[in-house]
Amino acid sequence: MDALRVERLVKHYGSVQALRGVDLAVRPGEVFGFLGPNGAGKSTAIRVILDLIRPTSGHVAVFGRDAQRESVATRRQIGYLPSDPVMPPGMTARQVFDFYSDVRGERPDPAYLQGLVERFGLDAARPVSALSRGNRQKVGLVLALMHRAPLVILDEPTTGLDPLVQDEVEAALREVAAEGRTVFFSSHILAEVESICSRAAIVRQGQIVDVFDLAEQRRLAPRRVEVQFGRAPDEGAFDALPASVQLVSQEGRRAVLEARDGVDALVKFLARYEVADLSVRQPTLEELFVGYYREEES
Amino acid sequence: MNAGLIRRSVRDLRWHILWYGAGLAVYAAFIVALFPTFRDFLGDTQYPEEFLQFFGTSGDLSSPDAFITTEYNSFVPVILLIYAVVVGTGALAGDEGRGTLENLLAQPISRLSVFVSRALALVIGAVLICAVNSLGWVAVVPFVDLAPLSLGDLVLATFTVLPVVAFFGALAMLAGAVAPSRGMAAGIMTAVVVATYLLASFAQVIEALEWTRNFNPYYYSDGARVLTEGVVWWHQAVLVAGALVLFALAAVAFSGREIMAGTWQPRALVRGLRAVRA
Repeated sequence: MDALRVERLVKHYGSVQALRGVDLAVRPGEVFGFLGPNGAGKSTAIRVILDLIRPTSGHVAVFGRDAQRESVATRRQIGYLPSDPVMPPGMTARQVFDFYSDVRGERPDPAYLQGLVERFGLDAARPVSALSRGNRQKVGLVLALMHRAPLVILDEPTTGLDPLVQDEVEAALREVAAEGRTVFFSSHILAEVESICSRAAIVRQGQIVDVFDLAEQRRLAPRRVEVQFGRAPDEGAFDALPASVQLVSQEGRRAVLEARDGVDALVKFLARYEVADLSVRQPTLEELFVGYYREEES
Repeated sequence: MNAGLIRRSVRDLRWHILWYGAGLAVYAAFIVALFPTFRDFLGDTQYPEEFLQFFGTSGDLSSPDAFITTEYNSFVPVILLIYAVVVGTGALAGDEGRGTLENLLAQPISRLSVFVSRALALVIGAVLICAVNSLGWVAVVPFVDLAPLSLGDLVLATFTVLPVVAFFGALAMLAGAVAPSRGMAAGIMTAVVVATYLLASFAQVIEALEWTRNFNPYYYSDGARVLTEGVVWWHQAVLVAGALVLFALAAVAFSGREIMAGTWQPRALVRGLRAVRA
């Protein structure tokens, strides 16, 4: 059974089509990235999952339960961080945790809660109204994680956090997945998706344009190879490049090549020359993402 | 219903309860304390009957019931209706505007439960305001001759505003459930409160407008007549029934509301009915 299943989800606001037939399946125990530029429909899809807004058509199921018909039972399975967490006024962070525990009717494990507070460097005794954007984000993160919900949905989880805390958040999400729980998070920051997700979907203008396995994508993606030759290659030397290798640029003794389907053919080609230095780099998700959009546009 | 949410919702109203209650208590005490001074002066003064009727009273202003009706009961309900509008529109539409409703509704709690908690808090807050308000009577009435009025009459009259406050509070929650924002809902409700108050006042003196009384919730509140004519219980029952119907409609509309959509949502009632049926 999928942790989250979204089928043919459509949402119109009048003439605006926010979602245009979204299909998704998130497996239990995975960290799934929901990637797209601002306004692509990420937050709208999340709000439908939480039954905050109703779909025009389509279906959402969380661990097999209908997210609209059994919305309360569904939300009991979910820990949620909104994109801009705003806390009830007049409370300290600790009181906010108590309040939401009362509302949920379940108490978090005090040691686990305290661990999250310390890990994110949050002063839980301060009034939330006096907290910075980053610290409010930490309160929201603790709220989303403290009940150890089987599915954690985070809308832009690292917004406003400093790099050290971002690392802690990423580590915490990996631990959530290691416990067999599922993380579904939206982001437009490719590096964090790349860092922690096992799979990711790209959403664009309300549609999923691709769902890919990040490890597999990295394995299949072309390698960027930078070669420093001992002496400049003869003119026309690159005409004999294997079909799987493409010359990106060449300047004097330095050449940048792109190799598809592994680097074996390129290494055999380079063996004919004196090679002073060689570096092979995997493409970043950003390069994949940008490449994907360029392909789409062309 | 969620006990934690009800506690929190009432707690959020504590400053409203304190300031509305204390303000009205001080005013009530002030009016009663000044009555002996005004009694002699007013006994010699004649006001036009239409003028008195506009303010919901008639006859001799030097009598305690007419004096307190004119100076207090005829307009205090309007002040409490401001409370109803502020709290009724703020209860859910205000939370949505501030951004706190999204996180609340993402918890495993039904919208109906959230609605009932907030509606109960509104009513409990109004009851507590009336209780604090009554302390003003308790503090001063034993020391002033208001015969034939008793302390009990004044306290009872104070609490008879509750049905009309609940009525307008429910209407404000309904407006908040379909309006794009709290500001829009509060604006509309303020206009409704002012219009019903003025219409009720004019209907006292303009015969051609008398028929409008039957449709005016403010008329049924009897604020201007309760001390002189006693409580008309069927009027109170009409308001309670109206408030219950409006609370039910508001609950259904809130169940169908698209959170954070920022648009008019007339179809929220239809969506809400579907959600309730499901």
